[in-house]
Amino acid sequence: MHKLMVPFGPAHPALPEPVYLKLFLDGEEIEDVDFSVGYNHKGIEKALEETDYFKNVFLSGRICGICSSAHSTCYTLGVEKLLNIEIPDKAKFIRVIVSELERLHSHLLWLGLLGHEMGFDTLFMLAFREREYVLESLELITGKRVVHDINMIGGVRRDLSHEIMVKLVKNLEILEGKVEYLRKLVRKDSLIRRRTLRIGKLDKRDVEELCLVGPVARASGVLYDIRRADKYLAYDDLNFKIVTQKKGDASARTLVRVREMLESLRLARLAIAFIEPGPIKVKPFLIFPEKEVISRVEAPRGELIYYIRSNGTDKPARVKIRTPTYANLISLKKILVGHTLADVPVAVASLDPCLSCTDRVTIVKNGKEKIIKWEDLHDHEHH
Amino acid sequence: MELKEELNLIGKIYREEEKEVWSIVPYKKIRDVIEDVFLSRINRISSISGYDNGKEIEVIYHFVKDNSLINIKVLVPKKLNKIETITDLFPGAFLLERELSEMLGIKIIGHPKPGKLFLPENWKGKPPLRKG
Amino acid sequence: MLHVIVDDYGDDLKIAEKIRKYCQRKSPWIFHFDTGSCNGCDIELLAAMSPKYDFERFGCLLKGSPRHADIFLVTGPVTRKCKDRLVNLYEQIPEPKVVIAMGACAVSKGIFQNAYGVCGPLDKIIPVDVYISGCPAKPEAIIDGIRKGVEILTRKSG
Repeated sequence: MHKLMVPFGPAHPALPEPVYLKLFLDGEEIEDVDFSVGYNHKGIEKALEETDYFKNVFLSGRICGICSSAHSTCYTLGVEKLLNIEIPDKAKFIRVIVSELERLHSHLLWLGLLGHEMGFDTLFMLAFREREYVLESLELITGKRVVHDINMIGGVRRDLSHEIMVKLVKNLEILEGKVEYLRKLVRKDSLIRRRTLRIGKLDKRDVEELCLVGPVARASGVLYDIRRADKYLAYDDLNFKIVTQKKGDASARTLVRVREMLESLRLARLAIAFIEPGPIKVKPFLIFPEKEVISRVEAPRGELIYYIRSNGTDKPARVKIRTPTYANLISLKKILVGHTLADVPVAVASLDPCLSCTDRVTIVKNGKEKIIKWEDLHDHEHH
Repeated sequence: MELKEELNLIGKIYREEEKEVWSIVPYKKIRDVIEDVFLSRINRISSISGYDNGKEIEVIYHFVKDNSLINIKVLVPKKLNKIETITDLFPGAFLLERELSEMLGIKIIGHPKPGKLFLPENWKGKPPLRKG
Repeated sequence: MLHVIVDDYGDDLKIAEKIRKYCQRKSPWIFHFDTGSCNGCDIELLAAMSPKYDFERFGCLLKGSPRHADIFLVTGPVTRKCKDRLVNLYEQIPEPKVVIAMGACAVSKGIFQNAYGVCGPLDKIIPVDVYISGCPAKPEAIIDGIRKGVEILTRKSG
């Protein structure tokens, strides 16, 4: 029995960094996991200290292309706390609509990639086709499909006219039918069930010890959602359900995300109904007190937390960002140990690192290296 | 004793808001305070922030209890430049401490796996987030 | 005994070359590498593959190995950790090849002008043939960029 070390990565996951995984195998079973990150490290926290608060809104939105609005919302909420500004109600609801549509697009993207990892490319194409409705809606509201830049310090950049709201409601109605179909598919399809049941099990104790966040935590029964905990923006006025499951395996995480898609649709429609005419921004006083603040939002992958420290100048003294995938990375060992190499793609994808690993794998066997592609790993699954 | 009273006794609560408590604790007592936090069954740590204010490195532990944030700040003198790990009580701090150590150059005593996280192996500069 | 006499390679090679050039033009295969991008451009690339925009109807495929590729599509402002891998991958792609820099970060470092972890836009490290700008680049722009890349590829093949 050889002991193999299979390193894979660097790939492109998560907002933060692509993960370089080292899997220690005994035969086909994984005994230990080590990982290293840093391939995406650009030095953004330092760059945020060298740019003024207003330009930083755009910089923070480009930390991650998938949860761009979550980052920029968290940053602007922090700065608005610093300056003690209260933004108008209409701006709050517009931010909620963009955040929920972003959650929807992120979960649909994830569903497509999960299908791809399983070899179920039809699911990939289906999920991406339905996702186009979400991107069209976002383009109607913000003018851009992916990196929205809707926030400004003091409110939002663009208003929501009546015509746009009518089109939005129509798009969301069409989407509801499509997402409902995907939910039935995920619950009943035997292929998806066989590939995700009992994979990557995390029980409640693991989640609490390792301080995991997001759908990963909620799939193990831990009720932790910042929208309920912090009640930021307009979430206090909107009635919604926090989706949880008990099993904590990959199928539970799938179900949590699909049900969250339906909740997000509901929330977006509710928020549109609440919108009343009014201003969309306030003009902030440009006096920055020496203060430190914390702001938290529920990004699609979990709790996103910003620590902003100001020293009285027009540039922040320190911005510390802790992203949700970063918090969930330590669960990799618990998720993968005991499984076979063939289950690794689905198990890692169930964590939802921003994009699934697409890079090459090297197998070191008896000191000789052989490079195999990530796609060859899929062939492994068919013996 | 309730945690807030404890924090006020050992350290000082310098800011209190609706859902946040900010307290500062003396360097020598930080380990005791962390143990008390653990014993009062607060088991979620959200983040660890570090800031170089010129004279010392401020290390802030952000704990979450129910829906409130408990922020505990400790000033690490630059001459000593080290702090004890909390991963034995809070395994979730594993990556957070490594990042703190890498970006601000503090040694974390007792960390199970110290080493570079984000920076390339051949990085030859001072820790990026140190000032001056 | 079987004798196989091959006396004139000329015509066979010419036909083989013609077939290769036709296939490259009609079905360019793409290898994508992310050198530290925020993933915005990467998901727009995936969207370009999805049913609404569908670049697969032009014969383009996203492949996992550089040795199968005609087009090298790079996103991201090239972080320090990715630089050597980038050059390594570039050298593995067989000639003739086309390099496409996709997104504002690959074209000009984009918004990360001051970031210490970034070593310069793509054309400082490898030669670039097509630039697709946008933050992120829209799927229509990506398809247009690939089309331009294929034109350049056809010219390079002679």
